[in-house]
This record gives sequence, C-alpha cells and structure tokens, in this order.
Amino acid sequence: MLLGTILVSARSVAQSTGQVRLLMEPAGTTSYLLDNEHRMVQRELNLLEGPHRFVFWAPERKMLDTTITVVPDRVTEVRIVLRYAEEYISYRDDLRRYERGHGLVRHVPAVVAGAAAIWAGASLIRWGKADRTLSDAEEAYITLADPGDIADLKGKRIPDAKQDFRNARAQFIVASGVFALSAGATWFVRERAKDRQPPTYEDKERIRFEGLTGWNEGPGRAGLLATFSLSIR
Amino acid sequence: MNTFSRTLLPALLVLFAGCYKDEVDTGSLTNNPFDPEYVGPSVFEMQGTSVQVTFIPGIGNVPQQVVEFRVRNELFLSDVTYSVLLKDLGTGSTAELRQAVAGSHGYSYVRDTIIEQVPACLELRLSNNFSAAKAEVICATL
Repeated sequence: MLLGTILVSARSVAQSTGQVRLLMEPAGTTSYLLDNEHRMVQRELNLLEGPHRFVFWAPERKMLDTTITVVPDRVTEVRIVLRYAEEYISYRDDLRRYERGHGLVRHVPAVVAGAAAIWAGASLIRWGKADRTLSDAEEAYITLADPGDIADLKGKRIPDAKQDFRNARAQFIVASGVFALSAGATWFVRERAKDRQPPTYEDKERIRFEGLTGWNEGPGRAGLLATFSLSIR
Repeated sequence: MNTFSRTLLPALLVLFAGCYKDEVDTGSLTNNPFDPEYVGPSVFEMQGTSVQVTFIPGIGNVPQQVVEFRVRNELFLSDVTYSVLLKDLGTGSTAELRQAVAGSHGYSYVRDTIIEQVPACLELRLSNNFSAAKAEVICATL
C-alpha cells in the first residue's frame, strides 16, 4: 500500500493528474482492473494524465476492455454499460425453459387430477341420487293403488330412473378412471422431475477477469481491495 | 402404498361393488293387484248368488238376483282404499261399487233379471282415480 502511494506521488511530480468519474452499470457490482494491475470498484479516482487501460467486469456481464485518456485538471466522466455475457443469456433462457417446463410438469397433472377428483366426487353424488330415485320408484310400486300411476311408474319413471342410474354410474367410472390415471401421471411425472437438474451457470467471464489479475475473491482479499483503493485517492 | 392398500383400496372396492347393484326389473313388478299387468292369484272371490225379494211400493214384491263376492285384500301390498268397477256380462250393465264400510271387502251386486241355470258372470276391476286395474271374471250359477 505504501509503495503504491509512493509510486503515484513520485510520478505526479513529472505529470499532472486528472479526475475520472465512472458511471457504471450495473452500479453496485461492477469492478474493474486498472492498468493491468489494480482491481478496483471506486467510481471516482485521480489518475495521472494520459491513457489508462480499464477492464470492467460485473457478475453475469461481459468484460469490457477499454482505454480512458485522463485530461489534466479536468473531470472525465465515462459511462460504462456492461452487456450480459452470452453464456449468461443462454443460461437464463435455459433456466426459464426449465422453470416453465418444471412448473407445467408439476402443476398440470396435479390440476387435471384435482379436476378429475371433483368430477368423480360430483359423479358419485349424482350416482347416489340416481340410486335413491330408483329405490324410491321401486318402493312406490308397493304403496301405489292407482292403476294409472302404476302404469306410469313402470312405463316411464322406473325406466327413466334406471337410465339415470346407468348414466351416473358410467360417468362415475369414467371420472374415477380419469382421476386414477391423472393421479398416476402426477406421481410418475413428479418422480421423473426429481431427476431433472436445473441448469447451472458458470461465469466464465469472471474466471477470465480474475485470471487477468490472479485475483481470487474471498473475505481476506476483499479487505485488501478496499485498502489499496483508498491509498490511490 | 400402505395408506393406499389399507384405506383407499377397500373403499374403492366397496364403491365399485355398488356398480353391480341389482337393477330394478320392471318385468318382475307384477304382484300389485292394482297393476294393469298384475300376475298372481285371483283378486276377486265369488261368495255365491241368491234370490232376494224386495218390496217396491206401487209395484209390489220384486225378485232380484244377488251376486256376492269379496276382494281378497290380503293380496294388497299396502293398506289402501279403492272401488270396484263391475260389468255384468249377462246384461251388459256397469256399476261402480264402493266400500260400504272402511275395512270391509265384501260386495253385493243386485241384478233385476234373474237367469236360472245360466252362470251370472261379472267382469270386475279394482279402480282408483278413474283408472282401472286388470279385469277378472267371476261367475256364479243360480
């Protein structure tokens, strides 16, 4: 740290300095490598006049290698916008596809099974009602003493009730079959989905960026970065 | 799987057993005497026939043939009220006989024409609300 300060001060004797103000996007996470030596995050810094190489990088973004020329006794404002890395865009698309597919796989069969269960329940209730109607009609035969009513009962009411009973029973069988199939499909799909791993993202730009400085980010290193930056200003 | 085999499976079996519930066979429903398609023992039972003499003022004594029969209420599936539609096959006259006393199932038909040695045949039907059940014919000879 002390050596760095001395170097800058010694060179300042011969050259003037200028201020560089960096407007970086993304704002909070962009760091840069200055003149192939110093990894920094400061937005404003005083530098010796002349060209300086900056390599900007932020997580998930593509590195930007550029030269900024410092004008003495002036503030040079530079706006830096880092574009997303192709790998990240591809990863994001893959992740979106995975999440959409995962959501569909998890929820669609469950929704179908739920709807089928409701349908089966409603069919069961209808079947029960049809059964009671049929039983009532059967019992009515015993109590009726009106020949016309008996003829109507045997010719219309009981056949209609039987048809309703058969329809309700068939509907229940179909609905419960759909429910069983969809419940099985839900279980099967969820079991299969457990094996599917979400896509992972490897920030290759970060590796390249850190390779430029031999920097490995960590708690100790982060402290060193802050200390060095302060000494420059 | 345990939960399924212990609870859901028996429930489903019971449920599906209901699918095979015996359906009502309307063809087998024939034992109600009020059914127009009634099949079973005779509902009407002949009690006998006799001659009675009735005094009619201005005319005098008039002989009449009385045919007595009863409805076999023990064949009824429930306790009901009814009337009997009668057609005299000998004279062609018709009548509706009502229960004289609730719980009484004996009826008398009086015809003005007395025909001896010839069966007096009556076509009888149980009736309610202007509709009639299956007809039966009973005969008695004086």
